[in-house]
Amino acid sequence: MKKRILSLLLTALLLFTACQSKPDYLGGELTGDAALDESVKALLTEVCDGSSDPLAAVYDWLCSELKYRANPGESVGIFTDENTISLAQETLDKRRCDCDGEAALTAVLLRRMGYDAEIVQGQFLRGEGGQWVDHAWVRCTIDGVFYHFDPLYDAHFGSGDLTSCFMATDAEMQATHSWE
Amino acid sequence: MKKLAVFLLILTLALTLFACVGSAALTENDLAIRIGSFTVTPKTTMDDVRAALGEADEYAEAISCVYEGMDKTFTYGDVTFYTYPDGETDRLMEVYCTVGDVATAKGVTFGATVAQIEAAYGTGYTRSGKLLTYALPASSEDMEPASLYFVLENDCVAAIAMTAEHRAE
Repeated sequence: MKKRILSLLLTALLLFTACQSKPDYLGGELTGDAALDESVKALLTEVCDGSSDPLAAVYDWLCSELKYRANPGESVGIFTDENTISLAQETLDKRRCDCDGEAALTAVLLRRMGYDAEIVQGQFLRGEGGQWVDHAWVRCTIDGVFYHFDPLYDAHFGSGDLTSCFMATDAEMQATHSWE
Repeated sequence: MKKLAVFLLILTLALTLFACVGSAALTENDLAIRIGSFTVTPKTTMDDVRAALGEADEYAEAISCVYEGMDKTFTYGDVTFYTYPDGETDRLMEVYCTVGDVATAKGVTFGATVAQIEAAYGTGYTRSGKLLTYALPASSEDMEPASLYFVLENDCVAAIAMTAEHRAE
């Protein structure tokens, strides 16, 4: 009898712990901006909850939800922690951005998911036979390998299945992107 | 029996009326924004804007990430016009207003509540982030639809914007 009660208590404790613990996709780095961190948590929970592939779910969300709208008067120049945070917040609020805003939000989301994400500033080939233009996207190191994420490229110039620049390796990116 | 029939008739009428209010088909004119005495619709061109408002207080341009040519912004006080290049023409993509004598075609102004927006435009909107958006159907798959959207702060209108139908690329 005692054993049974003990076993039940242990099960209840395990279930309680499981309910209280943060999902994997929220285990990464916070930005330090309370409002943004809260918005990011809400978004990741909405997008990733129940998904078997949270990273792909977030990438699909970025490709489909964000609308392109350039803001040439407010070019970031070099990314800093401060302008990354403000751009990510603005992009999350307004769902409109250029490549800077998209890269900032992508980086913030992936960092919160636990990935070592950095913003890459380089150039990309705009459309087939198009021109090389300044651009920003995100790169992560996973198991020692660089993987690139460029939702803006996928949304506008990709193959349609949103995988052209999802976890693309350096070699895969080099046909359409250049960077230092 | 008669009472039941009357009750069902009233219920049907009420539900029909509710459905009409919730999904009233909007037109391009409904998406218009009045800025002072100038009304911007999804068909407004930048020539119309210049003719009505003169030269912009601020102007900026940069090579577009998506379109071939330059993306531009023309700012008049607290109103910004965003354009995208289409050959030699700068086409209106969006007008975005944060302060001033601005109202939508159905009278929504800054500070309006979601209930007031719904009373004017119905409930056929989408909400994402801080945006509440009424969109018309796009004329083709290659186009982003014309829309009227409100940026909400604490559930009140902090910005009013209209998007013209434009190439999605």
